[in-house]
Amino acid sequence: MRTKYQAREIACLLALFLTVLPPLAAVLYIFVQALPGISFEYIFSMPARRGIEGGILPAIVGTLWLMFGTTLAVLPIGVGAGIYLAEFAPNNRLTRLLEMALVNLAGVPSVVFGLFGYTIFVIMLGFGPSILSASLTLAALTLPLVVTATRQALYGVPMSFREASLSLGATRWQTVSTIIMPCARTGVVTGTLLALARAAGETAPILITGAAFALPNLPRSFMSRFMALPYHLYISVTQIPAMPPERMWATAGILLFLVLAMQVGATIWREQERRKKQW
Amino acid sequence: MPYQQRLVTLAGYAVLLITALIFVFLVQQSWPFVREHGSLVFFTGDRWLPVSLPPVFQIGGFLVSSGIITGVAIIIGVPFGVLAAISLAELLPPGVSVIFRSIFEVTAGIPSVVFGFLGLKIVAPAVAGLFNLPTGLTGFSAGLVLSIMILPTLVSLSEEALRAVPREYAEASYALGANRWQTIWRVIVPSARGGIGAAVFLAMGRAIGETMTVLMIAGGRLAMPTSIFDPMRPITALIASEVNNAARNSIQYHALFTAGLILFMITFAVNAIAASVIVGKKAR
Repeated sequence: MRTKYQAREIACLLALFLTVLPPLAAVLYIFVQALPGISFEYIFSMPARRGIEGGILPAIVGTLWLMFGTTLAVLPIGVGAGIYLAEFAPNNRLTRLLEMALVNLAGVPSVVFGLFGYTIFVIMLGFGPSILSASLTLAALTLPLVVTATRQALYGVPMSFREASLSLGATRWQTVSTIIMPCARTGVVTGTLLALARAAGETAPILITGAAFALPNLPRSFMSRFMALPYHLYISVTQIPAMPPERMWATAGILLFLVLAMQVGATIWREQERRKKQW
Repeated sequence: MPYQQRLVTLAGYAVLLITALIFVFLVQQSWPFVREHGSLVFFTGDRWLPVSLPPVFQIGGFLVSSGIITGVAIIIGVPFGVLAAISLAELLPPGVSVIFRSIFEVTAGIPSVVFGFLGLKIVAPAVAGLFNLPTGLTGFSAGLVLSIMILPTLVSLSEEALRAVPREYAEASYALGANRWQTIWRVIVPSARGGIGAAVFLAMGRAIGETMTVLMIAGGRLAMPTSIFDPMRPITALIASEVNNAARNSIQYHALFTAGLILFMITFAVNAIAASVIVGKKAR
């Protein structure tokens, strides 16, 4: 009888093993396949012959521009909203509506963000297909991630810190800005990094807000059209039959490296800070 | 109230505003299509002929495709996800669970276009060979890849639900002479089923909204699918593949926004169900 139950526990562990195997194998496989295609020239030169030759520097730089623009747009609103929800929001119907909006925003499909960004930023506000439009679209997509990360980080600060500060005569805002926020800083920064990693890998939202497959030069301003790694990979794979496979693997490898480096970096940093904590 | 506090309040309401604006713009851009062509056939038919005279726009085939692909992902993903969550919450020592949890975080970070690329290069040929199909670009292949992509959501939320079961339940079960597996399967899992249900619905919402992977692997055929091994085009792939080519303010353009509105409402409903399951559990 015992062995029957042990067999079931082993089946559970086997299922766990089978669920982590494909993603691990995928990451490893991509890096191995990408190595032959990655060279100094591939990373640091402009595309030639419609992307079939030359390098993908504009795609790497374009993705960095997007992340910069997304950060500028999402940080003030996301962190502000997180602070409001954690520290100031009254317990009433409007706040519950706000919470519901937050949950739903997190569930909106990325292609719908694309439609939204196209309508409001590209057309209505007249930014055209540009880094600005795409960054703002990605900011809307990452907003719920930043708000939630900020709120969680603030919830993690003990209530006694607030009480001590308030009892010394500090106002609520002084308490939040000088006592609570510094304690929650790591959580906010790592949460934002994770959100940006997500933004860097998104394709659907930038598909219609300004991404181009191959451009001969680097973006000059936020109003420029741009290349981006995920979009470049998508078009290479699906629409350029003449594209050599090692170039696709190299693009995929560079994109994956960028995204995972941010992710793993943020996770390790968070764990280290957590260990240092005195409360 | 200091001005900084006013600013963060404003930021809070900006979240509400953006969510509302998404809905408002989708409705506004859909309206010209709904006003002139809105009928029940839009949902039931499977003819999508944007450039014929007169053009025909019916999304039944795309809705069924989305349903099939999501169904395949859930049917394959949920058993693995729940068993993996049981391993992490109940069987493995915490130190080992942490390692596995970080692997799932890495999975969640892989961009969907990269999953699509791998699916195209590896999964699709494998499926074609295994089931002896003319093409591996099928709804089944897309569902298979999606089942891997939804695992982080499934596992982390199911694990959370299992850990939230009060320790006394397990202790009472052991006191009555049950062994570890009996306790897990008969006491802990049933007590956590609300949370696991919410995890399944959230994963379903992710699967329905996933765009790049299905656009690259599902095959893209417009007709109503008759089998899970047919090439098909789910609703997200329809929007992503045509919106760049549709002339602005053409009827096709507005029809695509209508498809987007339907997609938005479906994911809204699925997420609302997940949220209500979680809230219901808390209230108890």
